[in-house]
Amino acid sequence: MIKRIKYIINVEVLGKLLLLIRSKLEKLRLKTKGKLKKSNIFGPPIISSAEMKNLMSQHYLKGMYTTKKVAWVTSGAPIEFLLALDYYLFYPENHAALCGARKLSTELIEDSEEGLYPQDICSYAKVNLGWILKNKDPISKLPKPDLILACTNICQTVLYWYQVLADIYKIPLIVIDTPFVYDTINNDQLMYVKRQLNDSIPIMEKVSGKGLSEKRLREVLSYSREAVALWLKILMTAKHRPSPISAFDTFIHMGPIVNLRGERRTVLYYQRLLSELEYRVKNNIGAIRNEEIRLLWDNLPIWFMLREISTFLAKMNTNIIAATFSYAWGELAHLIDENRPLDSISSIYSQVLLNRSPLSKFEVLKKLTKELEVDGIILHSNRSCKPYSLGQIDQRNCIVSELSLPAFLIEADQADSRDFNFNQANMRLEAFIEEIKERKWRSKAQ
Amino acid sequence: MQVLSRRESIDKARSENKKIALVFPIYYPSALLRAFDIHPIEIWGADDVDLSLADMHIQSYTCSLGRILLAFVKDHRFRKDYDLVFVPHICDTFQQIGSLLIDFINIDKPIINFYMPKRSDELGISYCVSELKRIIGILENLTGNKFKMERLEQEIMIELKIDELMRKVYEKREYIPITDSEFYKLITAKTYLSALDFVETLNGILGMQVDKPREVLKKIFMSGIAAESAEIFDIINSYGAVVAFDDLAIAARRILNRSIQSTDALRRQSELILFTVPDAQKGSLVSDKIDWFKKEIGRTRVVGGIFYIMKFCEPEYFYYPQIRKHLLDMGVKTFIIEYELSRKMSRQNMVRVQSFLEGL
Repeated sequence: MIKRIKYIINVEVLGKLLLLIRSKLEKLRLKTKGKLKKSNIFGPPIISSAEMKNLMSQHYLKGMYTTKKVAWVTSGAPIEFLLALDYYLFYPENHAALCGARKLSTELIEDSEEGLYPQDICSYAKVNLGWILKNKDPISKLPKPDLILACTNICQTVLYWYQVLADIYKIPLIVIDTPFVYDTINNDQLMYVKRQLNDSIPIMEKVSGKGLSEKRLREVLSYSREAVALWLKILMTAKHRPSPISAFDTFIHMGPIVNLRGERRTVLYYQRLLSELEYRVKNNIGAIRNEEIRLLWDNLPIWFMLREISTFLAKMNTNIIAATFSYAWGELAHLIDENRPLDSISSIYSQVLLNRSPLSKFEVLKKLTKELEVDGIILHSNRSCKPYSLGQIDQRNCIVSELSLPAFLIEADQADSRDFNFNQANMRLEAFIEEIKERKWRSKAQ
Repeated sequence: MQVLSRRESIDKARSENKKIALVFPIYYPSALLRAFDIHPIEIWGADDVDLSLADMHIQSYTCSLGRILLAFVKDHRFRKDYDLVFVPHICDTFQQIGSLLIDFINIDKPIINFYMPKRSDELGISYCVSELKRIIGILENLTGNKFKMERLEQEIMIELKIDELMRKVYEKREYIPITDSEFYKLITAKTYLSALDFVETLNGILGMQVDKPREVLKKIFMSGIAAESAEIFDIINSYGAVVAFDDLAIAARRILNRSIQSTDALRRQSELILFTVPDAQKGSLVSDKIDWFKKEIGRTRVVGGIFYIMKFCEPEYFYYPQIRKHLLDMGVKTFIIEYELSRKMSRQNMVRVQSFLEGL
């Protein structure tokens, strides 16, 4: 009861009010920034960002005071069942990304290394384990889990990482093992995933103390479908020249699709974001002032360098207009069918980008390259993410030979800043952009 | 005691009209391959493999085993030695290499990928059976032979015999008067010998038993994928220490930890893979792995252990801090050492092992 009262005061009353005020002020700041700084290298900021921040802050605030059962989940996990059972969902990977973007991740990584986790494992896992070992809350107080759900569709690392979490917290772990799709998915694979999902429902119900309502599950799934479809439309506004959005914007605005898909507020938010972007398209408002070069990004972002890289490129009139990483959250929208929840969930979550072959990823690169008319591709060779990175060398070679596009492989990490030399990377990036400019100039001259 | 070399084993298999499968370690349906007269040979390194052949496709932050395997497969000089490549899905690295071999790297040999389920319960076994059925279809096409369930059952019986003998060999280890280096040379021959030749090897090892146990100052264990080189065993023995048990993927990790329950041959083959010693790669619980260590420590009375971890091998790293904590509570000291698979042990690692042994 006391917990509930605390929740109402801190979240529903004070939190909501303070976040609303902050959001209004932020909106005002963004609008003013857009009007005043005309000479800025960037276009006017996306005003909806304020609302997105509000949405995510509310989510984290709720986590601090939640009275619900808490589930920690991997980013590609089938969360619709948990949401339908009224769990509060926490994504350690998203939290690690947030720590990265605020340049707080490396300290937590070093904390995990003190706890004997070596440098060579995934930096997201280490941010999370560092946080647990040192009990630090750099962003906000995080809720302890009652249940953990890991889905191997993004990597095998989560299998080991979440087993360790389950051992630390001594709580139930549900593993959804999604066989890798080397070619096309077959019925045995789908049935295997479906049976695992089916078997996991009683565990989720037992921990939550509630029964799963099929009606509610369909509702959640329909919100997921709407949000994912809207997200795809949002990403595709980048087709326009100049692109109203950058890949860096999508990395930030994907927060709700990762953390809050399956919720009505996410659908409403993306509707508003889409209409703002459509307005920008109509009025030729670009993410950068002078879009001369359009690039595509492959792999996760280098979270601790978002601002530095985007500014450096914008100064060279270059915009990274899209990323395979953000696209991965929209490309399977057509597979979601709330009338066949189990089949549909098994199918979508088995076929996410990271659970498909390098050739399939190359096909995605090819598709985006054509649809978005990009001039080149930057592939982030990310030490932490082997399923995304191993394969990029051949993909890069095919981009150059088959698509006749320049492609650049940049070595870095998603959250560990220690081995990244920004000046060195800049020099190589600059040379890459110059090469593209020269190509464009030559093709115009012909 | 002599065993055939890899080369001799390949030649012998060829003379018996068997096909050779180059197999990526470590979990794969060996009995099924043998039921098709295919002789599986695991690759764990090569003397003169050119790693730059792998660097053309995968980044340097890939484990040395993955890089060696890819370089080996790409090297034309070795192509005549095998007829197909078999890649089990045991980690992200092998997943990507197995997929790259199909998608981008043409080596003119059939590539068979096998998805090992990451759970050992009924669902995992059922899925494993469906994977085996898929592979049977491929092997029938490849060999022109029809699959025979009785033949698979025969091969499984031999595998079970091997498992029984391996268990005995480890139980009687202190009564077998050979050095650790000699012992592991014999035990790891499992990775390339025919099943019957390996049965003979194990019987040979057991035949060496004496009445009195070896005199040792300290007993330790080794965990990891494989030993960096045989030199480590010489160092351990030179300090009066012996390896009393191991959790090496190349050696004891593939001994059954649960008994086979099924009667159906395909299920039995699946259980032979999934019921082995708990392992992160199979998604085993950390507590199961700890319990296994506790059981082995109770049996052997070791005082310390070396976690010999191949650099960049994620599955090996994750459970270590938890295991270490529990073993320390039992008074068993452990330490972690990183290495890259090669023929020579690094000087730095030699010194670290020596310091650890002195400190025990």
